[in-house]
Amino acid sequence: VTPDWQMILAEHGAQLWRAVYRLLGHYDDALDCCQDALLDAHRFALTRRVDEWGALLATLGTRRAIDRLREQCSRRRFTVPLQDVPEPAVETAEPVEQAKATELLQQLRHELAKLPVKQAEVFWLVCMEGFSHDEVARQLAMTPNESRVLLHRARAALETMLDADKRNARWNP
Amino acid sequence: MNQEPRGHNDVDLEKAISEIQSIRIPQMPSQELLLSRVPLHLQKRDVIGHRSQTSATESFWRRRLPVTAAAMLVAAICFAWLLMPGRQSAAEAFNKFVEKLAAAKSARYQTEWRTVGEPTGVFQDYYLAPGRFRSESQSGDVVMISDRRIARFMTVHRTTKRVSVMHLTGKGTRKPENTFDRMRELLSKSPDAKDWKYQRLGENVIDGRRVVGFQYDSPTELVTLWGDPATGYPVRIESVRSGLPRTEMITTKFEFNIDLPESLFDMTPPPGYKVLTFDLDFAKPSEQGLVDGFRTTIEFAGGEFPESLDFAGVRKVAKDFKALAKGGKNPSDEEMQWRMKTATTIGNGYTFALDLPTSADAHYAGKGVKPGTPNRPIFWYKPEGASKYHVIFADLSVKEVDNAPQVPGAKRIEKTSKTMQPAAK
Repeated sequence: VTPDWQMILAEHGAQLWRAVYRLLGHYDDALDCCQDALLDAHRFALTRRVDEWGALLATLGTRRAIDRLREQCSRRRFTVPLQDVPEPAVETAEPVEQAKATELLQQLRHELAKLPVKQAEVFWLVCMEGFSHDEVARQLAMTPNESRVLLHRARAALETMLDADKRNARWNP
Repeated sequence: MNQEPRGHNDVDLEKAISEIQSIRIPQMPSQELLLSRVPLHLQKRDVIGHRSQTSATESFWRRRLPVTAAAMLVAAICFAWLLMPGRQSAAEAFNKFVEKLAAAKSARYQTEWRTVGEPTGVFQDYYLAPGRFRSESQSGDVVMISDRRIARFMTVHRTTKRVSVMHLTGKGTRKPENTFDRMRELLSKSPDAKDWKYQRLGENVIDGRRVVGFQYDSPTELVTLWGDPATGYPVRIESVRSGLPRTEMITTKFEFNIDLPESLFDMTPPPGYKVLTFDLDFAKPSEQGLVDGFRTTIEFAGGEFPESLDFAGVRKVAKDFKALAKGGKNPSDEEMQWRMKTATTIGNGYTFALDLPTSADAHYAGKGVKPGTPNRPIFWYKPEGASKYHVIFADLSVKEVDNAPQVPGAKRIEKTSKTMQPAAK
């Protein structure tokens, strides 16, 4: 049986797109990462049997998107070109609330990029995409217990970092 | 969603998670765009072998792998030594270069267009994934920028200070073409290509680099690729299109994965330029499109079908079109709208006929036929996988028939890459 990309994308494409777009909040970047993830999946399928296309695509897409976030954070730019600014993603009636929510999202993305890669991947796949620890463990070649430990560490680190950001903001309004 | 144990001060984290989950997700890009980097023909051929293994076989190899690995390694080295150098199949070697091309995120290269009856055009092209493209004429007078994602392209004429912005619409709208995506799609989406379609051309030296060459005969183009085995990247790609007139595209001086500023692809018209905007029906070439193309040709060509669907015939249609177009080199805005619409309808229609594969057994027999003549076939072909022929009659009706019509003087539609002499260099 040949992998039918049309069928695979019809079934799992939306999940891949959602995972990557949520992480990046930018259409062009998300498209670029999805294309890369699909090329990765194609290469993977040349050498190994794929039983869980949904989990595989979500994992590869998440990995590519986290790489992209890390790359963006490492550039440390003082100004950002207009086309690189994330698209307004949250719909609320109040502009102030919208600004706060957008800022919080940006903080989370920024902090996520600072986490060790495996922790970031497990956090995203379990908390955001709703995969079980068993599924994530199979994709990341680890045991379910390792996945749980990584998630616990990721959450603890993110909470600390978000808390520190908040305190800094309070002292440097 | 998984409910994980929470800490006491994770309110912000939970809030951020909840915000992210409520993000408005834009519509997923088309499958074609998402898969534009996946070389589908490699996937198909290679994975068939992989999938044919049974789980029992996999299990056997998993158990025996440590024992047999050393023996297999020795055998593989011996086998490789026997086959090397240059014993890899032409298809496999060709496809290694294609993979690099498919994975490129940006590129700068030079394109030379050689069209029969036209002066040679040289352009500096830039490509930035996904789908952004810029082409500058050698003189710098004309710049074309396109964006496949939004189906739009813009042409800037610096000498006349005019800008044409075209929005492509229509059912199954084709994306604006650019040379890079076209190359990639042509080379990476040929699932039916067999090994005999590839031919090894041996070694050559281009710009002081040792290169190896291959030729690939696709249904729509004859492609010659010269690649540098040291880097794995293509160095020169030549393609001859099967459409009319015969057109050769030669791409050289490739630079891959370089930093290109976004400003190169900015589609804001320069200040002080006159902007003309067109909405063009750019539907995918179809049988109905060909019927519309014939109808439009009849309307402005004095009630006649084209003499032939080859270079001479299409050139005559273009000549009639130029003669009837009003306003010469400085047409009014309405005239420009009419010219673009008419040219697109005719071009789209004829493209359908000229892009049909040889197996479609397409024929044209419209020369000298009076439009409206009942039961007089002017064009027929066999759609892929169909058992019956589709026939377009002189009254522009379409019917299915079991056998190809027998019409004296009917001409078979041939690929120009095989039938015409190369354009002058």
